[in-house]
Amino acid sequence: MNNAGLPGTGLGGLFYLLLAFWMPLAELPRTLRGESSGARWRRIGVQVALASGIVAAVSVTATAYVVLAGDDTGVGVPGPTLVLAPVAVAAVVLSVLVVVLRTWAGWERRRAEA
Amino acid sequence: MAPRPADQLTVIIPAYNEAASVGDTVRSVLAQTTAPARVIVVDDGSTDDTARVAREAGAQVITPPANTGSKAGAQNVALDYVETPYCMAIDADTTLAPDAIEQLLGPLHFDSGLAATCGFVLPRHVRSIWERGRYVEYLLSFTFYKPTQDYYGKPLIASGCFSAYRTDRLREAGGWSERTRAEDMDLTWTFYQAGHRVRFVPEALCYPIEPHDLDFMSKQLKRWSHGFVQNVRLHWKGLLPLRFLSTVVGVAMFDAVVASVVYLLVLPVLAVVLGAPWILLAYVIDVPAVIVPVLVAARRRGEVLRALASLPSFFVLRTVNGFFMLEAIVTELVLRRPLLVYEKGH
Repeated sequence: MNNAGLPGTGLGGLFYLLLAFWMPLAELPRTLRGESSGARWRRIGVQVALASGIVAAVSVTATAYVVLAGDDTGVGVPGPTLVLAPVAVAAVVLSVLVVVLRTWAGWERRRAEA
Repeated sequence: MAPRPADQLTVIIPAYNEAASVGDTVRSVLAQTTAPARVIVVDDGSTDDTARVAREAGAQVITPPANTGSKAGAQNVALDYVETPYCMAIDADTTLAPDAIEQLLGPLHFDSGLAATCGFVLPRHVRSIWERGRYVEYLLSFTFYKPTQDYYGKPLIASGCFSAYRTDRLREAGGWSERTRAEDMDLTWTFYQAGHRVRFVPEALCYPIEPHDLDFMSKQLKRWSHGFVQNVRLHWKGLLPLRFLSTVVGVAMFDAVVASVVYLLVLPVLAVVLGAPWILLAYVIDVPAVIVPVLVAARRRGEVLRALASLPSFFVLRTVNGFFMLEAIVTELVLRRPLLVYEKGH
């Protein structure tokens, strides 16, 4: 999933989940500086609740699949591996992508300053 | 009494052969809780009754000497007539919730750092498979993605069908550029690079008519896909210093390319080569992830059954999306043949 009009594999969705879970941490310093508000925290609460709901729905579905499939997943790998492998791959790809993007940005900035 | 923000607002409605819908658009603007000072319809060389219908509905109609060739061109014609501090662009097939303008103008009026605000978009009709797919896509996007982008201060795009602007900021940006097929994305990213901010206002609702058949949907998706690729190419170096936005755009671009290849090539080929049709279940593997924000949004609107019935269409639309994204990437980046013609697809 991704933004409207843009197809996605779930990588973008994973990125937005992480962004939603990061919101309370990002808001803490702002709160300590007195720049936050109840409205902002309510907004954060909604986004974190949505993200938690997504994680819960995916986890329940994956668990149900593992329980129902048992040892016979049809592709010669155990159910938990079949479920967790794509998530692990997506997490690694996303991490590499973010590192590449930020490195690229740093390189461009240094080049502009030089 | 202090003037209301809407008293300082001009609404611009570009229109080309929109006689069937422009009347509803103008009436919904004039019936707002805070009606704007002026409503300008740009009749961009229509061959139907667009001008007459718009005039009878209460709008001022401007007719350029010749068809401008794009929505951006038509909007720029009207921008020359704007004398108010705020202006708004609304598509001629879009109607507004009664308080949409009031909701959208509030943040713009009270926060001088904002260059633009954009609202929540929902299809007016949800009947065909394409409208249903778009309905789910919008519920998902405007409930989960856009508020997240907004929290980090960078909504990806202030949608062209319904956004409000500070007129001076818009003029500083050169108006709506015609250099890409997604003038709204171009303008949003231009604002960010100039150091301005944009906000998403979920309470401001608008209802465009979305493509009802594959022919119209193809035209729209082609324009959107090419527009996205053109904007990434045009703005990429300027976006890089903007940490959040460049990461979001980079991830979206990468994901869109991979998804297009996976949906159109990898999955069907694997299913055939391995003789394992169950692989095709991967097309809908993320149903549990999609369904949560969609149902939350639908429940707020009392439309749970409609959302559930529309869910399968989302996966069809996403796969079709993949085709147009792949076509745009190959045409724009590999063959270097940019899409130059603005073809209306609603």
